Amino acid sequence: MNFFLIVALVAAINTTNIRFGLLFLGQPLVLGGVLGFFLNNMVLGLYVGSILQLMWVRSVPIGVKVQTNYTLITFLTIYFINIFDTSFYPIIFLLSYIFATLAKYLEKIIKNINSHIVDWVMKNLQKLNLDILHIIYLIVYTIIFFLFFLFSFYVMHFSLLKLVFYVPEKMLVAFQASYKYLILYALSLMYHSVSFKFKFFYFLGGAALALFLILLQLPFYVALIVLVFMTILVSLLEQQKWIFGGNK
Amino acid sequence: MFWRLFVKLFFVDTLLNDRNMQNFGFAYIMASALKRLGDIRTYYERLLSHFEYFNSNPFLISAIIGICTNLEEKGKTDIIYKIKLETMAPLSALADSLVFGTMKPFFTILFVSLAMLSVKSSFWLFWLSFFLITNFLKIYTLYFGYKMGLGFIFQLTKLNLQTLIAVLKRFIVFYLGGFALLYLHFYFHLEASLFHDSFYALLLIFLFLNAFVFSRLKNWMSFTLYILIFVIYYYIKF
Repeated sequence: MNFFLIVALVAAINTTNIRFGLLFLGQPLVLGGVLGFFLNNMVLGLYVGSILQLMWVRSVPIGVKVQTNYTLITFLTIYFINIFDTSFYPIIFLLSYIFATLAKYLEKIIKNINSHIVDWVMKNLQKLNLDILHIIYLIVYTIIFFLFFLFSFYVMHFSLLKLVFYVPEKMLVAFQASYKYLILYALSLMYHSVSFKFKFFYFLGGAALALFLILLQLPFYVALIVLVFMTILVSLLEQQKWIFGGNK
Repeated sequence: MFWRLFVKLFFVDTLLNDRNMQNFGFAYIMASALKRLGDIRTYYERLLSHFEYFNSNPFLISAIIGICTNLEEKGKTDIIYKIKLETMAPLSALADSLVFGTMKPFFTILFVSLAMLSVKSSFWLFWLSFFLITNFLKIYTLYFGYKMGLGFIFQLTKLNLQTLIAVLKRFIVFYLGGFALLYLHFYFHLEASLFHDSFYALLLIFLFLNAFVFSRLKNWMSFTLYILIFVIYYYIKF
């Protein structure tokens, strides 16, 4: 029962990703927290959610280009690590990535179905009672929900996942060691998420301030609070052209 | 009517399609406005005109909806199509830059750093911040778009959202540089291990390259490279 509930939850969240007001429920950090709560493993949910959130921070879910379905990656990764072990993380992640790429094609199919529905409505608009628009919406939501439900359900039973048991022991040890440092890897990806002139110097400025705070031997939380205040100050001062020459 | 339009804004992307993009969503929202305002004889004609190609950002589409409703109310129907065409791309670019290019990374780095410090409420705070801000943006632009009509476009330029974007972008990068180093020092003690173990030096070099050089790599490629470092190291050393 719990299993069906989780699959239904993920299908519903996938439906709201683009189709219902971009609610951001499918963002990896949010979904990670929710799944962690459902699976009674908040630490795992937040950790994996944070990593995937940082990895897909540049992704824009709307527009012409269909993006990798990061909601599905988050769901599969957290669910299977909870079942197996953290040492299987790389294999689980790459398999989830393949499934999320397949989900891109599901998104394209939905767009094609939508095109046909819209064409039909435009041709028959004058004959239609406009209350039928509400029914069309209901039908579309039902189709999308069941497509994602069936896809997630199929993926959960995919037999290729049994291959993880044939991975050599030594490799699993290496994977286990890599799990701890994943957050650093994800943080290093974050740098590309914004673009502006002199980005590198701002990054170095933040790092230099942190180094100064470390040398002062301040406790972690004090250093963090000082960093936040200094960041706000630098961001605002720079805008007033008081330092660094202002916003070009 | 205002709240009906606002609720319908949630459905703008439901029938997103490759050919006409958001045309159905736009017409669906305008249908309720036209029903209240228009003459029943011109109703279908006006509604059909809103089925033209349309594509904008769902967070600032509310401004265009508000302006179009205002123009429909005043009977200036001849310029509506032109206004739609001329505003959808600039507003979309502005909203993409504001929401996806700035606010998303800003809240991500803020709440991920909280999640990394084991704050369990970080995930719903992240969602709540986004939900409140994006919906405030929708309500604000819809309300003033409807009240002010075409004048709202000039009002939007006065808001100087570009300045807000510039400030937030600087915040993200400065904070990222500082937080990454603090976290590295307090939670991983990598700099202590650097001189004793070549592996940590290799890892740090990879992280540095990942941040500053590998920007063109896809996620799965850089991830595979990251895992390979560990596998090769463990196979050589043990």
